[in-house]
Amino acid sequence: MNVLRKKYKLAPGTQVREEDFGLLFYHRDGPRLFWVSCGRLLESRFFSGEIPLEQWLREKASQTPVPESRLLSLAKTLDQLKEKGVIVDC
Amino acid sequence: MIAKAAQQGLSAPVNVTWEITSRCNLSCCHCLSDAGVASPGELSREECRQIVDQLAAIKVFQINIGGGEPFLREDFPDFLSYALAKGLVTCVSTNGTLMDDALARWLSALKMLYLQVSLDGATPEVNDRIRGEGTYAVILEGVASLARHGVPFSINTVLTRLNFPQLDTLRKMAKGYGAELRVSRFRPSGRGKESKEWLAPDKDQLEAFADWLAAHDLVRTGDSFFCLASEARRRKGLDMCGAAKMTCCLSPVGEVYPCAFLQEESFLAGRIRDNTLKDLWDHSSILNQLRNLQVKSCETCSRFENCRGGCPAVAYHSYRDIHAPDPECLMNLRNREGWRNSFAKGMKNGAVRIS
Repeated sequence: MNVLRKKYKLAPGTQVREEDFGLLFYHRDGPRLFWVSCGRLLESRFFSGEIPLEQWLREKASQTPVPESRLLSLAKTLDQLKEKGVIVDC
Repeated sequence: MIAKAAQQGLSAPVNVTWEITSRCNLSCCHCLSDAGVASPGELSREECRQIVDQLAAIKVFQINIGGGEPFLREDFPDFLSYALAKGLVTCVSTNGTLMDDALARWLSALKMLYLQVSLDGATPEVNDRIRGEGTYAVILEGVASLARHGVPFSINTVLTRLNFPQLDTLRKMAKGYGAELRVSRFRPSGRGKESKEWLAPDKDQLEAFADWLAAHDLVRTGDSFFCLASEARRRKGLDMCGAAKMTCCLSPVGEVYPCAFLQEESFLAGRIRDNTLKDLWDHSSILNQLRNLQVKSCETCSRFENCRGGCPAVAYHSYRDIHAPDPECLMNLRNREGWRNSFAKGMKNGAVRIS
């Protein structure tokens, strides 16, 4: 799956912070908020643009097994965030 | 998911409304803060900087600066530069009367800064009755300076009985300056308590405004009108009261409240001179109460999952009870008599209930 090889970083104007439910993104245009219910599967440091999603998830899965369906759903969420201009791949 | 997460409490506010001074050179008859002279013991420049450090550390995304008139503080440019350097998106509400080319030029160089200039009518007759004699012309001079220097701003209008018929003109005026129109809700707090009777929009106007909003997608409302907005519009933004869930309010002397419209002793979460904002946000009982506010009489309403009872501040200022339904929500407007009768039955005259 191509998306798994992607690295992501925050788009200009976006900030993110960790919450109990997952990640809360803020984009200054609007401003808009994006709520991503991912628990600790993604963390704000993932969006440094340095770690491919596949590697990140492999490391996460080594700590706690993650069902395939959850991974697919996460990849889809990242794609949606990209479409909305919240993150960019690099 | 949003409602549940917000009720459980975020790690920090998404934004903080910060009334940085009570001092104001105008005396608008609906001013929520009853602004005029500076409050004794307003936060010093150094205290403001320390608070900015706190907000940045807990990842508050945005601060909404108001007052009073922020630009009356001599240290305000320094404050702005500092907050922006710390990465806080900053929105400043100003009455626009101190804006000139020199200030606008300086502001134009700042990134992540947004301004809201208050204008409450499309004609001097309407605006000046609310904001004071001669203000219309001065405000528009300030607006023109901002437009000339490319500073991003919106024109903010508090919806009133007088300016409701001028909304279309106000929207066109804003567009003419390259700005958006933002419409805020009249709330009967501060001097709004006194002017409510003659200035608050009436029932028919509010209903018509709901339709107008639905037809004007680009007009912003902040979180003012979630109780009135169409389903399509509500899905685009926050659909419930953000007080204590997404936001809180910091007064000129460092008191923390759930929102700018609930700045009364009963709603005081604490003082930032005695506690950190993080401590107050996590542990204040009044903020927790607001997060779990139940408006029982609204729970059977088809719109309840979205609006959760509407604006507690309007309910409080109308009925001294934050558990009361928002009297100006669309459902209550359309069934006003039935609702008023059923609510009145369970309500003691003059009762105050916050818990």
